[in-house]
Amino acid sequence: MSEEKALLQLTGIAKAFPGTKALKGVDFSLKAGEVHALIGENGAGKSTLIKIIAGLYQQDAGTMEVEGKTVDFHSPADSLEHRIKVVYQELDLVPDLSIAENVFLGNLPKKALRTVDWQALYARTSELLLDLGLDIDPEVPISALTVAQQQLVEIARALSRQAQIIIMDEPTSALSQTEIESLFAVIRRLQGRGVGVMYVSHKLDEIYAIADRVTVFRDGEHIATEAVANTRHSDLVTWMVGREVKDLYPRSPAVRGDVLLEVDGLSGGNIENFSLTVHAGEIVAVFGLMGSGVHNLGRLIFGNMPRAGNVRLAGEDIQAKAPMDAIRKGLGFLTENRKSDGLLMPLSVKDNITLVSVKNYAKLMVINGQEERRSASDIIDKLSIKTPGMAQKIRYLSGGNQQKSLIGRWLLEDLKVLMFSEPTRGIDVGSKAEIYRLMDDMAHQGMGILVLSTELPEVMGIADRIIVMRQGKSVGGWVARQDANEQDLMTAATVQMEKVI
Amino acid sequence: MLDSSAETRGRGIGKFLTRASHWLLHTQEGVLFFIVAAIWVFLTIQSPVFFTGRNIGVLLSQVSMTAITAVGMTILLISGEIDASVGSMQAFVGVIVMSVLNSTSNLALGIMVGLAIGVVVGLINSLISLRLGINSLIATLAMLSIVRGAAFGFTEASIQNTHKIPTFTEIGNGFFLGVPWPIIFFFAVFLIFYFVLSRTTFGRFVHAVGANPEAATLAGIPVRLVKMAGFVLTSVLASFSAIILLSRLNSGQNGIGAGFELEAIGAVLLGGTSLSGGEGSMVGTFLAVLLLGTLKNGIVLLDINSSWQVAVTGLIIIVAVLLDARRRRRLGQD
Repeated sequence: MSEEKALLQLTGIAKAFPGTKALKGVDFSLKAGEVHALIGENGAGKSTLIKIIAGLYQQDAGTMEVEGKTVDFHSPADSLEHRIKVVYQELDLVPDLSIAENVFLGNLPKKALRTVDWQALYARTSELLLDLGLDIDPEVPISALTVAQQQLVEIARALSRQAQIIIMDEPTSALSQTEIESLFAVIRRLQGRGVGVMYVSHKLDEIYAIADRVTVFRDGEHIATEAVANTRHSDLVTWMVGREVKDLYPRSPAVRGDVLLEVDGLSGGNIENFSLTVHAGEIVAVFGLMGSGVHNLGRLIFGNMPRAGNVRLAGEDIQAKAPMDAIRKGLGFLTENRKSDGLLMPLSVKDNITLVSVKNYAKLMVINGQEERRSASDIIDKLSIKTPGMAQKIRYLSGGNQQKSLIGRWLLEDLKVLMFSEPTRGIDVGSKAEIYRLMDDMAHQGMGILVLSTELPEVMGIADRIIVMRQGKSVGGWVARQDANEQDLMTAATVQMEKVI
Repeated sequence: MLDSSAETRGRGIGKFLTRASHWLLHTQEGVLFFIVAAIWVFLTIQSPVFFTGRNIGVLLSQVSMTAITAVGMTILLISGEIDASVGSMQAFVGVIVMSVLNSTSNLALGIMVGLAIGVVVGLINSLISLRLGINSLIATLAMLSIVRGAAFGFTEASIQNTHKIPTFTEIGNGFFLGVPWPIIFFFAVFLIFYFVLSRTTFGRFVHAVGANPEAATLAGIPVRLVKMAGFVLTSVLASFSAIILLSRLNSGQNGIGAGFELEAIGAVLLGGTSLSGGEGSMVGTFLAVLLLGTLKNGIVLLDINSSWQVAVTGLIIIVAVLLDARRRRRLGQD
């Protein structure tokens, strides 16, 4: 360690939950003006550590020092008092209040009679926002902003409290490439002012773009802390996963069979007249940027959003009304918002896994518990879901293991086609390869896979055919590994948009 | 051989004890069980009458109506909805059934009409809540007034028993093998729906639609149908309670059942069923109803002014909601 005094120094932090040891004595330090990345797979203990620093959890063992003084946080207020601000993945802003009110929430400038000094409020907010490169009226409500702008408001909020330590939890998961660039510019500006930034992410490319040092956790243990400049990409992956990941995209072409899914002239939401087919043994990807409509496509096909046009599965029409019909005919759908669209938080891992297939284990509505448990346990083994038991409530599992449980839900059904929106969003490197391998297996077993994604490398790596969607319309198809290259696809997906701007 | 089997048995008992102590100390059911047991011991010491077959029979018969309705309410609350109209149902079903019996002297018909009212009101409740999208607490509070109004509109005075069907009074006051019929109905309803909730696909779907309706829809579960079944079930069981009450009172009274809905909902919440849906416990409801009955019984036995019986319900609601809020706060941090 350098002789520079650390802003934040965590030593031997341990924390256990019922059934799991989330952190087994980890260290982490943050210096002034430093961006220190914390990476690790889901379940590595990153979120737990953030919550300890934020005062939401208390560590079972270990010490926390801020500017050399030992601190003991009992609530988020304690943490804020030490000028620590966490910018969570799910932003905690009040959507109906203005930007200014959000920035100074709980800290509004007052006049003599303790009424709000609106003039000062707006002036000071504008100042903070301009400082972050955001030229926007502070009276605008939060709900009118993009996610990227909201994030900057969160950072402005941190600055309004003179935060010296800012913790960012997966800040780029909902941002476009340009938005990421401007976020990085803001981070560099913060750095210049001596703020310490703890940057938590899955995305290794970002680490190289922004971080000075990187710390890797695995299974609640501290694996390594290194200067980013001295670290190779493959080192990071190996540290995170605990083994070498040789082949992230294990796609091996399968025999292309009959047409399974036919979508013809589909319209609804911002999508207009969209058609595609998926054959047995094939992985088809629809690629588009955020807002292109690529995510709505799944809902339209599944019958979860009003639509016009025809959808056929193995020759049978799928009704537009309810997903029930689609499922009965052999279509499955994993949405991109797996938490809000998929998880049943108060229920057990088992009940979450068997939600769709439970009817298959029941006679006259009475569930055969043994059969159900056997199926759930098969899935837990097959997808190596980390849980102390299948009766554990799913809310106690890490994000990645929750996702795997949801994927498992569809593996228990006898599906013809599985639609997969953002298959690896929020999933760590190790599990990513597992999920791609699973998709490859399913295709080899004669299923058709439809991937809806905003991530180009993923689309290039896993799909047999790629369709690019821009503003709700198809702008062309490519055969992967033959005529598709990243530049062409990206151009196809963006060109029009830039013209509009 | 002997040693190892003794060891396994030892471990088995140890495991059972750990589980039992976890249940007692860490679940709401366990805490309730503990409280009920403590009060029973206290009352047994304080009053020679308490722990007698006769008194326990009275205690359980008295809460059987609340219990039967609370069983339906448990399912409805887990599905993420609520029914506040069950109180007025006690009066409305009562006056209608009594007058049907008086004019036809047909017991089966009277009971059928009573249960049919349950089906209809349940359907109306679900229609207002699910189709028109009005929050079910508001919708069924409105129904509470409407049904009460209907009871008053139907008759201005109470309707006396003029049919003199002997089996009718047996429903609420008779015995089967020495056990009062209301207790048998109570236990039967409880066991049936304990099974339905924990072992059937319907029970699973009830949990799913309450926990996350969007996820349930995307998993192919007919969300509205499941919730509708919950509404109808609650309303039919409330009608069943009303028929037992009618038999016990032997007259159809248009003002009866005020506050009954609070008792039923309070018991369900105290039993650990979440106001936000998705989780709940039939055993908890059972224990909470038992606690409610024990407190009311104790007030009488200890010669405390019996007006306090009404206040007990309010107390239970506050404790229940406090526990629910505490639990949610704890989970909110995860």
